[in-house]
Amino acid sequence: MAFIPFILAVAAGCLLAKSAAVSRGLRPRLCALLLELSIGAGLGAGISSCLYFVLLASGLAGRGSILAANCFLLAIAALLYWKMRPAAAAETAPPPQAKTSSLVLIFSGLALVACLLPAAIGNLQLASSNPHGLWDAWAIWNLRAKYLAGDAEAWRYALSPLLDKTHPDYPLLLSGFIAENWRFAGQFDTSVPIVTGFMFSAAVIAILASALAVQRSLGLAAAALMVMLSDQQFLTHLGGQLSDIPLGFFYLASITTVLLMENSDEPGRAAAALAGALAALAAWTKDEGIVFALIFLVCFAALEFWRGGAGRLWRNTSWALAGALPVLALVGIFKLMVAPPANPLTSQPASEAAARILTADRVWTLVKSIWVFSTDRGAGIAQPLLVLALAVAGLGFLKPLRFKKTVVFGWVVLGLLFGGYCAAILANPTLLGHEWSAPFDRMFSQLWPSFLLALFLTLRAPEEFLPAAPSPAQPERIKKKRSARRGHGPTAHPQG
Amino acid sequence: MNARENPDPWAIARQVERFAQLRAELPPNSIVEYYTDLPYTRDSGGIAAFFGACYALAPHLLVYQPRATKPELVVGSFLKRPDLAQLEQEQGLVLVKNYGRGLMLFRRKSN
Repeated sequence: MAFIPFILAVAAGCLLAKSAAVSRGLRPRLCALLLELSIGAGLGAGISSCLYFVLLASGLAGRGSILAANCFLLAIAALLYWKMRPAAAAETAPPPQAKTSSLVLIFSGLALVACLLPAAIGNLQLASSNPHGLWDAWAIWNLRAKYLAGDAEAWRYALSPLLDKTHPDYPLLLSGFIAENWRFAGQFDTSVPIVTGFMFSAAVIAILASALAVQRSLGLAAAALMVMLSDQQFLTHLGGQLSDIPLGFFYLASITTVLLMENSDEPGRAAAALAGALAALAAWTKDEGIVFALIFLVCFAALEFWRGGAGRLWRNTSWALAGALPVLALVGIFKLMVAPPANPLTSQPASEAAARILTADRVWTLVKSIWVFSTDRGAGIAQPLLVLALAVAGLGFLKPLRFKKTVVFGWVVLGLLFGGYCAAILANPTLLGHEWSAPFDRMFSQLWPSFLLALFLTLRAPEEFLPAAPSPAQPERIKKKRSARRGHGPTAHPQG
Repeated sequence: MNARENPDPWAIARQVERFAQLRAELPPNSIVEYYTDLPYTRDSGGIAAFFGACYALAPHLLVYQPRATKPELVVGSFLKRPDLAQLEQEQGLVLVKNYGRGLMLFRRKSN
């Protein structure tokens, strides 16, 4: 019962993502399908969360209205899918695919099992021993979900200034999505946040691997997966029910959608709208996502101008904005009119913030903290940055670079976002200096999947190091023998 | 991922179970004050205990040392047996119900 809105929302998101047809014609088909479904799952959860907040704010949230809202979302998504279904749209010719060697398939399969199995087992253990999640899950996200799921006006407690120790101003995507399922079920079932966390975690893993598989190669996807899952902190966050993984999901999904737009000279309006909506949903997930959404939209406009001049800039940017603005408007109303001003970063005078950013001691503390946190994310010598360095040294950089413009876009977005993180940490009077209040471990988990996508797109694929797969055409000697056996002359039915 | 070595390090599942009866008996959507003999520090476990109690009692709102209006109902969470007479005299807290395991509900005396 608790999962009915969940299933409706995810199904709607999958239909919406399929409507955008961002991976149409790409191979392997399984990876292309997985990519669309993974993007769609998070998209559906995000839109459903927005709808639930609108229901709460309008005083209409109840079991019937939650069901109706999600059915309405599904109906709209089905209608869009029907109107834009593959038969109705011009089919893109599939790109010629090189034959995947059995060595690569074995390597990819082993990498999948070796990485995913321990990660899955570890996270199941984590979920069973910590069913309420890690600290931030029960102290912030699930706590606020309980208020949002409460009867009558209890939802306002999630935004109460009395809740000043648990960030009542934080956006509500994760809490809202969990809450609507709790409200619908009439109980605080811990399986809802656990399954939601697993869904976003699986989607992040699937998007990184399948995006690299369809755009580059299976071997490169397997290598990226191995590096991603060598990060122990990231693995802990996967099963911890934190909002950092959903945030990382929206970063990765929006950048991946832009990458998939490379496959067509004239990408559909729906793809641009999808990218915009995904970026905006990052803003509904966490404060950092607001910075991301703004950076993303500005950089997207610049990228579209670079790709196709002013015409493409106006056409695609307007559709990206059309996808983003409804969610950004909700975030704006929430931040400016509903949530109490509880963020010490924004409630200080600008001069004080600037002085903190420019203080040499604080900058040095930040650099040291980043170094410590980034070099202590594994177990023993199995550090993710070391594994990454080995992968980069082993594979080498791709020359000439494919998807150059999108890769540059990805690096600029992530670079500016990282700069924004650093500036925010420096300016925040409460963050530096306390190990437990420093957000570095979660910050890395948010950026890690997108960083790996941008980096692995610049690397050579393992397949390039293997001898070329034998041609499927039969050797001339065999052809002649078979032809002679059938009683024809070798030139009677030329093959190949 | 050290779930096996350190399952539920903040004892949240235990807190949820400990507060369950109190949570059910509070009036709907109550705002209640939190009173404890644990110092509000990370090392003492006081911060974890407070946030754990917040989570366990939600959707009731639990507040710690509110600056403005003091709620009428007060939830006491104690490590040591409290001196009830002293609490009533000094803090104006009258015991409503003792739930055991250091958990009590008080009503604040109106001045």
